[in-house]
Amino acid sequence: MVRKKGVLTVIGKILIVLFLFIEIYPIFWILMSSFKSSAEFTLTPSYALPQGIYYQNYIDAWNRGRMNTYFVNSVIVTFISLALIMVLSSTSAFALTKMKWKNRGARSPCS
Amino acid sequence: MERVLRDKKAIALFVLPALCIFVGVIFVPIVWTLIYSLFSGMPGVNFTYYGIQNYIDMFSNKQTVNAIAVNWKYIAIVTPCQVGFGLLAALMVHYSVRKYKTLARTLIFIPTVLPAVAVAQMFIKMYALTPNYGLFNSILDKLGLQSLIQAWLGYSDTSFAALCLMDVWTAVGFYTVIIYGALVDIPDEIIEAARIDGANSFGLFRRILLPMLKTMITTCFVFSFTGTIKMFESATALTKGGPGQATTSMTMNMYQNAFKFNEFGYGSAIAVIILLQCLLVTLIINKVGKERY
Repeated sequence: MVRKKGVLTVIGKILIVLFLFIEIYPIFWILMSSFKSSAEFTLTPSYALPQGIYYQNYIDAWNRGRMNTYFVNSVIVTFISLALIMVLSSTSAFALTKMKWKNRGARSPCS
Repeated sequence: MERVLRDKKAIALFVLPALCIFVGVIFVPIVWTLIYSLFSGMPGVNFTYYGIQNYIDMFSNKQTVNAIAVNWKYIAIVTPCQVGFGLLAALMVHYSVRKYKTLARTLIFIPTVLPAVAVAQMFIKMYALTPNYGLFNSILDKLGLQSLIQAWLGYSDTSFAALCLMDVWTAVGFYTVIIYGALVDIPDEIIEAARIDGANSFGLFRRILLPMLKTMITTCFVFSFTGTIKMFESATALTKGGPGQATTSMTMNMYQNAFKFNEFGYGSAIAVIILLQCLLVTLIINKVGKERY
């Protein structure tokens, strides 16, 4: 689409950058905070970047925080439900759209 | 081929498992809840027939009335913000970004895939006052606005606003991507024709884009509404319904009554009321969405 580079486009560009910043900065901040030791987290301002990569947090979370067990639990739940969803929804979707039978056209009340 | 497609056994094999699970997980509990809502007490302990008294009690129960008010305030703020900012962001991504469209879209979508509990933990840290300033307070400190520094989750007004902000932040990417998808499908010729006819940007938006996006925006409102009326995990993880009852939603009130106070019948009655509100408003949104304007 051909379009003149008007004021609106510039405003849009500024807004989108602002918007992206708002959407991404918290995630970036929590990621940076995860590399701080608790002393550093308490002593420096929250927005400061970490002084070094302190990865002990991750080791602690995995071992002492029992993330290893929780991770395995999540994987088991995800795989079983994903397998069921794939099999059940693809078969019933095929039957509903391609196969021919009476009353298959009943629509959901919400659409 | 025709014979294969009409094979009754195959159809049954394909549809019945999903149908059984659907009926077992959705319809049976709904009917069950309807029946429960006419009783009082806990099944197996002190379960007695109570008629529609549960529904009448709801009006005199301050906490339930408060929860309904809080929930509707939340819906009135969060739903328009989610869809509105989503629409705005989609328009900006489509018309203002030239080179990095996919990148922008992906970045906006990231918060949506994060689990609600993790997002809530992150926001608790951001709103924190003690042991040291969180992100908000330290930025305010840096900007010299010391008077605004406060425990954001400690007062009813600010904690409600904090919850709204978090939920808009989380969901906006989802609606951006949906509306962007619809925006891409609008043929360029139509927009070019409107431009040649002398439409300015606002006219273009009002007369061309909005009508063509209407179906998608309606769907977004339905998604957003059904998501916000179920307000539970984000509020539970961020504020636990507090301070006081300031962020207790209908579902949280239902949960408290049914599982903490062991008033299963009353909890079921609240669930039925939530279901009715959900159906009614979804119907209204769809009706409004189909209207010509």
